[in-house]
Amino acid sequence: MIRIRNLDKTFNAGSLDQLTALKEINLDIAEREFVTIIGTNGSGKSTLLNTIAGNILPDKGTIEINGLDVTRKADFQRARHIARVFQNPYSGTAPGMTIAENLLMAWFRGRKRYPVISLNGTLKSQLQKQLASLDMQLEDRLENLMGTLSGGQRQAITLLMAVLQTPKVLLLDEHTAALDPKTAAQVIRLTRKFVTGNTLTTIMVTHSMQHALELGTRILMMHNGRIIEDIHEDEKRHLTIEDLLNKFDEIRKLEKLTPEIMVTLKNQYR
Amino acid sequence: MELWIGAANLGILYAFMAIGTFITYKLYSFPDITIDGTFTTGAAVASILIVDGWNPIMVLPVAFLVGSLAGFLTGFIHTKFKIEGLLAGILVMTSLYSVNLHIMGKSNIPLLNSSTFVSILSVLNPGLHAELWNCIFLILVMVVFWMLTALFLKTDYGLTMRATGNNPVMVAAQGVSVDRMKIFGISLANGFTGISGALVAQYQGFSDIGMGIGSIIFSLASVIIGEAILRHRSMFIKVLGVILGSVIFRLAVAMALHLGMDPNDLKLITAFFVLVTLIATGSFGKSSSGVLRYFHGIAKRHRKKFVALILSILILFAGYIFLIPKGAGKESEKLVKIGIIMANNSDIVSKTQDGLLSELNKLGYINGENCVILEQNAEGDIPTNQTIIDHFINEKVDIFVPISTASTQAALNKVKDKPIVFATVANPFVIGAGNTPVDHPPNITGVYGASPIKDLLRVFRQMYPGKVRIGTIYNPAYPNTVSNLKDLKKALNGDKEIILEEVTVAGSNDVYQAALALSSKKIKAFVLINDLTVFNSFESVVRVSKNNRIPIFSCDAERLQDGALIVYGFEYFVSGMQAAHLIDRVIRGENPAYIPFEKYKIVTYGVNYDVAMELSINIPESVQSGADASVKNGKLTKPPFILPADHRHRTEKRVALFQVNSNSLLDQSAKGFKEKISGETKIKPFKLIMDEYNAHGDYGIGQTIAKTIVEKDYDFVVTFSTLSLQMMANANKKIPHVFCAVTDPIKAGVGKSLSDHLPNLTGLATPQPVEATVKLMRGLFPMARKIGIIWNTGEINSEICTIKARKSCKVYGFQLVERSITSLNDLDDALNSLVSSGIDIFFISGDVMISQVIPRLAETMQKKGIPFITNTADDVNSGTFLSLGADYYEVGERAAVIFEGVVLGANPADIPIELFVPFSMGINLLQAKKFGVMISDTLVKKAKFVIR
Ligand SMILES: Nc1ncnc2c1ncn2[C@@H]1O[C@H](COP(=O)(O)OP(=O)(O)OP(=O)(O)O)[C@@H](O)[C@H]1O
Ligand SMILES: [Mg+2]
Repeated sequence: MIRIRNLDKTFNAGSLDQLTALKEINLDIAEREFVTIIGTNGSGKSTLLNTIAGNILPDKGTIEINGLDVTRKADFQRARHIARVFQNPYSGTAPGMTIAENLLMAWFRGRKRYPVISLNGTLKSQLQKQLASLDMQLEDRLENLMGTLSGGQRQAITLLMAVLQTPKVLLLDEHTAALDPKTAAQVIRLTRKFVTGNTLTTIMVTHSMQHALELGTRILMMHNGRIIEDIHEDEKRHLTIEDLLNKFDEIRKLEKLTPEIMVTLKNQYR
Repeated sequence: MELWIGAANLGILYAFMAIGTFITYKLYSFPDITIDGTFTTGAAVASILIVDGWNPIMVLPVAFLVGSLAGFLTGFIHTKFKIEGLLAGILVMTSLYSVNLHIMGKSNIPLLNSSTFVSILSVLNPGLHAELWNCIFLILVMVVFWMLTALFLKTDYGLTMRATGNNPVMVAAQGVSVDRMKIFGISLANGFTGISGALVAQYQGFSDIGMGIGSIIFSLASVIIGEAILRHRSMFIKVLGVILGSVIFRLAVAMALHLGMDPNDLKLITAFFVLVTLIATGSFGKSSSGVLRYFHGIAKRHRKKFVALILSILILFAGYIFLIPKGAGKESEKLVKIGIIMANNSDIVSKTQDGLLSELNKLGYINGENCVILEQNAEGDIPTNQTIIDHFINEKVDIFVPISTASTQAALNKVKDKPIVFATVANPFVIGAGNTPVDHPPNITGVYGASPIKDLLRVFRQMYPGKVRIGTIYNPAYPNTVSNLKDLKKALNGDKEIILEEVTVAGSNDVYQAALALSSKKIKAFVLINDLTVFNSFESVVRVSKNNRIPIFSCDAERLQDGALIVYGFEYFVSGMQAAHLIDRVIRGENPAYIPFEKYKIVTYGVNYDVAMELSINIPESVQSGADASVKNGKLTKPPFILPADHRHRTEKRVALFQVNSNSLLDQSAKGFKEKISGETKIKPFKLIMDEYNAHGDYGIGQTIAKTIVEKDYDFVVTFSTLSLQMMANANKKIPHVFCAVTDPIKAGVGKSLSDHLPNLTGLATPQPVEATVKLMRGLFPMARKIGIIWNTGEINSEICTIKARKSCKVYGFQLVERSITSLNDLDDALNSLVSSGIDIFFISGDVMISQVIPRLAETMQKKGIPFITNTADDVNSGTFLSLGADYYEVGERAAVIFEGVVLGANPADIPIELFVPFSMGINLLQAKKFGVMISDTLVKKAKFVIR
């Protein structure tokens, strides 16, 4: 489903704060695979997702989605196939518009919009049904402004909007990081439900080893713009958090990281 | 009432733009300053198309398209080149300024006599008050537009636009091109602005290059007011709020004027109001300071009170409008009210104002005692002129006194049933105030004049003969400047040895650079036409003048003290004085329709000897003695302004009508003239004593008569025929003289062009329609080859017609066979030789002598079977086949109209000679049959005489 070859991305090339965010990325993700990505801060996880979504254009390499070379396509042109949920729960919805109007935006994802009024009774009851599936008592609040909802509620709706028109690829970038543990768990539950309920190919970035192990069929570990580990289903099944931390330890040895950094890492990936 | 309805109408017209701003600013948070330019663009496009004959409604889609194109550019620059929105808007707005000038071709296009939506509406008016009728219609249109806009914003596309403004990241993730959405929204907004401009231009009766300035602020104010009074999530209510906001904003402007506030302060108040409302509604960015948020907090907590406050102000305001004016001011109602409208604060305007007020005072008008004088200044804002006039109408002003072109244009458009006396307008005819000083709208009179650039050049030539280069600086945005420049170029046309270097400026800041640029071109002098921009930074020119020893010649008398070497200009103070006299005449009961426009009566010709010394320039004796004002050792000496005495009030006028010879044409024109004069009421206050002189073809007697007329010192002379004109013009250089029945006065030697003629005469040029006749011959006789013509070499008219016939024959492929004669004795020989040369058509044109024998000629031609064609319609009754000419009775009538103006005091020098050919045709269908010529019904219908 996704095929990435020799992907390179350097920010501010040629200047003092030149920064290589992606180096020689080669990645194949099959249809219906659920990949989680873990890695240190600044290792290039978001950049990878952004290049797949088209928010960032790579310097080198190619990206194919569903057999189509999309390397040079703009983000909105890829949106037909790719849906996203951002880390910031406020990025995915328009606060000044009603829930119904927000959902309508997603209803037409990747399609042309015409000056006709589609948001009528039938569509509204359909949207209402979808909202009910969130189990958040939002179904009667179609006419409420999005801005009046909590972050968790908005993130849940963003998730719903992402799968409203079943995409081929779903990209989740730490989409629970900004939520309190209880809401986060709820959103994770919804994620699992939507991903397994639909035939999606999913990539999820997370800082939670727990989520990485619990969810998905494959784990990628990134560091310094490279994929340093690619753990497939069979191996993943037997993996523990300890194992993952040991993998980081190996990097430490490879890169001669100081023990202090190791401690911070461990703290981060409790 | 007029004031308030007028303001509401303006509000509705501006609401299109405000809705556009609502889209850009409220939906996209994009303060789009492009509309400052687009508004004018819409007006410009609409005006040129309307002048071109387009339907005033059909121009609206074009204005929309052109406006959207401008918006598209801003959007494109903003999104594709990632240039800050405000900057992108400024870029496009600035370039639109030039584009607009190019579209308009000049800086002001009057629509006074063109068809506009207002004129269409007035035709359909069932008898309501005009403004009320406009208002009803505009409300209907606006309701439709409101519904459509609000509905559109609720469609999938509209929702996506709103979402784009609300969260671009989100819509991009939903597969929407944010760039495309933004470009669309900005284009749409500018399209609406274009419509607004097109409508406002039609409503105010003209478009002007400066009319868009400040649009963005007014629009923002409207949007913000709307949001403050109507807060609701519904798109319908939001858009309605914007419309109401626009109307309220215009009403507030009217209110301020009504209360006698200076519109200049109004701008400050607007800005303050916008700021306060921004704070109160929290429409400011996240980065704003704690103070703002503190106020916002207060405003938010007391929002209900805030709205209540605004509402109660509105209600009080409404009560005031409807109740107070009826009771108040009863006492002052009996006094005559004079409303003075000033367009700006320039020197010229305030000098005029001073002259006007002081002279009114001298004439015994004392404000508050025996009259009420209202004064208001639009401070350079064009729509404010309109509102001031509405205000004056509301105040029941009796006489409107606009000073300067912009105010006059606004008054002209709005005031139809009250007298207008304007002052200080360079050229009232280009803004649609009539065609000549006497032929003008019935409620208007005033004082005008273009700079005496010719005289200035004459002085310049006395000092700098030979081949020289001169430089001039001007701002092409001012209509007056442009016409002054034209005059300068026209004046230079006769002088091939002067090379004119011109530099244009867009603002005062450019003037220094412009002057420097000119000085580097080796110019001998700055010759400055009247231009506000240049005069506002005159010191810059003076600096360059001093540093480079290049003297300044200026058309503005005021510049003498400021550092010009020579000035030759009108005293605008005197313009005001003259206007005061006109106002006095109107108040005393004279009908402005019969008061000709007056030119400025006093010019100042001044020399600055201090400057001459500084630049080491010798002032020749002739200039020294000619000048009447001077600056020496810093002291200005100027003769006092004394208006020339006015003889107008003598009621008996003696007129001499003079005809050297008689023929049916000339007699008809004399008849038309006399009948028109005796039936006309315009000059009823004068008792006309008319003496008719006719030399009956004897030139010697004619000369004597001409001399007698001069000796008897008639007040006016009217002549019929070219010869009469020439004899009279030769003998008389001072009595005002109106002529008619003349083929070509220029060839007859009384002028260089229609507008540049001997100063004491004016009249009509009525050429024989030779070319049209020859063309008709070709149409009727496709196979004919030879045209025979006989003409009298002693008659200049006859010669002119023959020359024209030669040209036309070449064009239409005829051979012209000529026989010239000097007396009727030679006629038969000429005729025989023509006939034997095998002519297909016989033609006589414009010959007075031969015209006496038309019946005889016609008989001969009928015998020979040759079609006989002449240029006098009723010759057909004497036996010609076809005659195409002018209707000389109408010519006489027209001459009477011009004559009336002259009697009423217009200076013939100011009245251009008029080209006047009222077509008249005679045709003989019996002969047509004989010649086997098919005459179409349309041609028969056009004929005045038809012989069947
Ligand atoms: N637009 C940008 N301009 C310059 N540098 C950038 C940009 N976006 C990302 N970077 C840099 O690229 C590197 C990779 O960033 P990225 O956001 O992909 O990391 P990440 O793995 O998602 O980190 P985190 O876990 O903190 O979200 C970082 O060093 C970051 O500073
Ligand atoms: Mg990240």
